[in-house]
Amino acid sequence: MIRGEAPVATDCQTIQEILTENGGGLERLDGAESQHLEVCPDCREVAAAERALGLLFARAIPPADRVVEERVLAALRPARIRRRIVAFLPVAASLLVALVGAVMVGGVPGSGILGLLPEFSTQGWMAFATSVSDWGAAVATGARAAANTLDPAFLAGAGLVSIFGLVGVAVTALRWRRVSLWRDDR
Amino acid sequence: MVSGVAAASSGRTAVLSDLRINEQVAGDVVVFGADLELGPEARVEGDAVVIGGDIRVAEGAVVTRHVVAVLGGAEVPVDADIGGRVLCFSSPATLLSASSAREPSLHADFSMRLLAAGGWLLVTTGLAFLFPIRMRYGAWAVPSLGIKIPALGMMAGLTVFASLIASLGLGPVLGVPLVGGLMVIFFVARAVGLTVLGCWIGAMVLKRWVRHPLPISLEVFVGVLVLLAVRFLPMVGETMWTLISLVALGASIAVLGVSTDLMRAEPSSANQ
Repeated sequence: MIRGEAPVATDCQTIQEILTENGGGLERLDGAESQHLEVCPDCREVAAAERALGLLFARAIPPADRVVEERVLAALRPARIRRRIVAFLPVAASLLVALVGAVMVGGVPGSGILGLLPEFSTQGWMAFATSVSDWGAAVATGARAAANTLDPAFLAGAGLVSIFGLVGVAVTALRWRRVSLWRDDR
Repeated sequence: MVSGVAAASSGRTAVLSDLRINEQVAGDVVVFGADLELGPEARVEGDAVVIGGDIRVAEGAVVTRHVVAVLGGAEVPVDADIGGRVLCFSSPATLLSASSAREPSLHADFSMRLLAAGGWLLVTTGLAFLFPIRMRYGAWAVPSLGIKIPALGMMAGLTVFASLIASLGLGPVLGVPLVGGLMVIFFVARAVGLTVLGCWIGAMVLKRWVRHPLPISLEVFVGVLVLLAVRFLPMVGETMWTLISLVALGASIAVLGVSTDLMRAEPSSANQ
């Protein structure tokens, strides 16, 4: 917003986003926004820069020389591979943390390193497996007890709440689908 | 003395309301999302089950079958008369410590936490590596959606809770696989949401020191580390983790909102 200017219906950031999304084109601006552009040098500058960038791209694409294009892409390949490797490093570090945890819990199952581990490690996976089994027993007990004690009307109510909740979540997801940061109708 | 919102002839049930029993009950006692207290005169002729709450058994109380606490704790004195087993799981991540509750081991506890932390880091950074645009979009959407995300997370959490009750009410044959499926969906949604939140937090943390663009997997790694550090705080850690999980559910729905046009760009997007 320009200093000293009367408040307008919109602001520089919104207009500049629209200009950026449309390559500096003014056709998406409404009356108030077009009026704002006439008095705001910053927004005019953004519009001009976007149009210039569009012209640059128009000249550069498609490339006139296939050989040059292939050479550029070939030169970029090592950088892309390097970028992928760098992006994979955190995944590898996470795997390492999980493996260290797994080894400390009870060794990697089936490996021969169990014997090299401290005493606490040998029982870890066995206890873990027992607990997983107990988890199933606990859920089965809960299901049997709930089926015996819960009122059918109450269960039907819980089912209805589940269905309404799922519908609500689905509707919200679809609604938010239109809330794109670069959507066209902003 | 009984207080609850629902009761059946053969047992006692309470939902989101604490239940205190100090008398004979001819059947099972089930409590969802609240605590159960069995007094010294209590005699439960069946199972005592609490899902999403704690169970406290007084000395002298009798339970003829199992005492079960899922997503909660259990205090059972040695001289309480329990006919079956005491099964207590505060969360799936504490399975080992639950199994070794009688002989707490610092090593086992630390190892299990390390394994859980590594597991979450692996899942979230893996998701960021495989679906960078979807996750980046979600992270961008977080500040613009603001309070809507925890609100929707609460709604999704309530839906999961209601589905859990409805599934368990179908009995062991249908209930156990349904609850298993529900847990898988909950885990996947939470993983996606944690990736989004991790990306958002990691980007905020890293941009204080690094100006140039970083791989999304690194941002997620740092962000999820921050969330895990909160989780393992003493006293408040598990409560904070529950809240984070609810927010993550909301954030996962933000990711579902990515347009299909954008998704088509995913395979060619490398990892930034």
